[in-house]
Amino acid sequence: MEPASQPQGPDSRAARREAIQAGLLWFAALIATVGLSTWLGSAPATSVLGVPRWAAYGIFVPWLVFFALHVRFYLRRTEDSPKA
Amino acid sequence: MYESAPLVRVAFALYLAFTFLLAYLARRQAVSGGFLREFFVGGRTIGPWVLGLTWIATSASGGTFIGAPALAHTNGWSVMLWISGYIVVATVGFGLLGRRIVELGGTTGALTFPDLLRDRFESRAIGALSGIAMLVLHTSFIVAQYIAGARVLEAALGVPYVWGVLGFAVIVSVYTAYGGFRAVAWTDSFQAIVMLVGVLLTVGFGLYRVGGLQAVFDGLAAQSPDLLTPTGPDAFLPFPAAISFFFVWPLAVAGQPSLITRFLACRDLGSLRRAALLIGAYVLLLYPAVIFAGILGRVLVPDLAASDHALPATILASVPSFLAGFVLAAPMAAIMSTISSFLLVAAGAIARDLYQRNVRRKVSEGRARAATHIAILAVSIVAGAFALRPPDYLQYIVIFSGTGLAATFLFPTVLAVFWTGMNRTGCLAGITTGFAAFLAQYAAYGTRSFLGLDPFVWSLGASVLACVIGSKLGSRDPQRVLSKYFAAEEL
Repeated sequence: MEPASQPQGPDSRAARREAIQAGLLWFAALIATVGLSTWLGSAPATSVLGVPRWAAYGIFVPWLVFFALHVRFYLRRTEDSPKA
Repeated sequence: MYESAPLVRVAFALYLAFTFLLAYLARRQAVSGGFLREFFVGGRTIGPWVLGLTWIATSASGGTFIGAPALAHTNGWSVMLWISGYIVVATVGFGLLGRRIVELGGTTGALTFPDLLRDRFESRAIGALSGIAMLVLHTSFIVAQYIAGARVLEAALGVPYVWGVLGFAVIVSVYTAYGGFRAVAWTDSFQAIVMLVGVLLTVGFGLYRVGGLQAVFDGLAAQSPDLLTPTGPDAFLPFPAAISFFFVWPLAVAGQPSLITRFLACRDLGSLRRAALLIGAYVLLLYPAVIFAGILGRVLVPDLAASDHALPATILASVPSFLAGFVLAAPMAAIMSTISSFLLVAAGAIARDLYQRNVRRKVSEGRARAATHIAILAVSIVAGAFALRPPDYLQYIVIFSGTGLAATFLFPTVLAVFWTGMNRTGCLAGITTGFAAFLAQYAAYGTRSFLGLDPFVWSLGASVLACVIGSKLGSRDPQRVLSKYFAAEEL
């Protein structure tokens, strides 16, 4: 086992905030994706550019939105600090 | 066996040769600081590109490239909803534990996942329990990957099944033993690129061959309108199952010990952040495309000898033969990268967690190297033997190693690194309850437990509850231990 390089451990609060934010994004994506897909999918399948309407608006649009939020999350919310 | 050209074999041989070259170059980059530190976490010098690509290559397995397109071939667009949890897999996979594990890797010196739990609670039982669980379950998952890889070789190149298994066992174990984590990470990165390019080429050529997205839609509608619905034919994906898989994919990935180990190898937090950004984009491109390749296959090659041939058959039917060998390397890359990573984790469980930390604490560098190489050889032989004659219950072990491992370890790990009130009793209670709840539900109800949800969902809840109750019943960890993991103002 390598010796600890400092006498006290790293502060967990910033990492905890990130974990909570990640959890909230997951929950929002669950509601948006499964909710929209199920709701739109209850009607007979119609095509949006060759993709079933429920998949276009219930999966691909949320995927793009949550990718944008992911980018924002890691560009703005993650506070960098030197490796302890 | 589908029609393939000699060029396919040549391209595939070139792919393997380049993989070995990368392993050789990676070994030359090894840094000083001890064999185990270099072998298991690459000297903690892994930067964003390699971290991100090795993380996703380990996560994407034979299941992603063989099983998922096969499901899409059978069940159509509903599989896009089935996989939709991947929308947040990078956010959750990196955001839940990534930063904390990178920080703790630097301060505690942990080299393996069991190191983290064992040292946090100063418990040999927790270290040994997690080591044994990882050894058994990762080895069984390697067996499944050998089987999937041999099936692809059989379908695409006509290689007899037995030779396919042996080929995988020898090739992957050699470069893993030769270069350790660094070689695995470098070859994973190359394989991740092959996977993405291969799938995108398949979809591009396939769409051109069929006549565009609308032609795929019309082709599916002509076969069965159910192929276009979110529930799929024969109610493949009812509402509770759709919810369950939104738990399963992101949280099972976040709780995989082999992926948590990646964070121990990370150079710094900036690298972690850039890797997360890279993987968000990678997942957005890869996963819809791999499912769509299976959907395309339903129109291009409606009749298959076996459903597992969906992707290889689609590749051979759509991609020109001079490119098919390279594209066929995509599923092989997914399988090989998962095997090498799991081999490293399973060998680490033997050499580090069971041998060095329980039997012989002070080992010379030569002995540590020998123990690690013997462990890789042993795991490869055992997994290869099982793959030649897979037992009936193998599929259950594979299911468990995919989601059960996360049900067992995710919340004990999360609470161990974030909650000062978590103690040894709580950790043991969480691990055993998560494991038992998952196993009992599978035995009693199969994949649909109470309210139609997957056993994974209820097992996570039971594990959290057990962690909290166990911690309240046990005594608080000594200040001496907690101060290694938390800042003074948190205690």
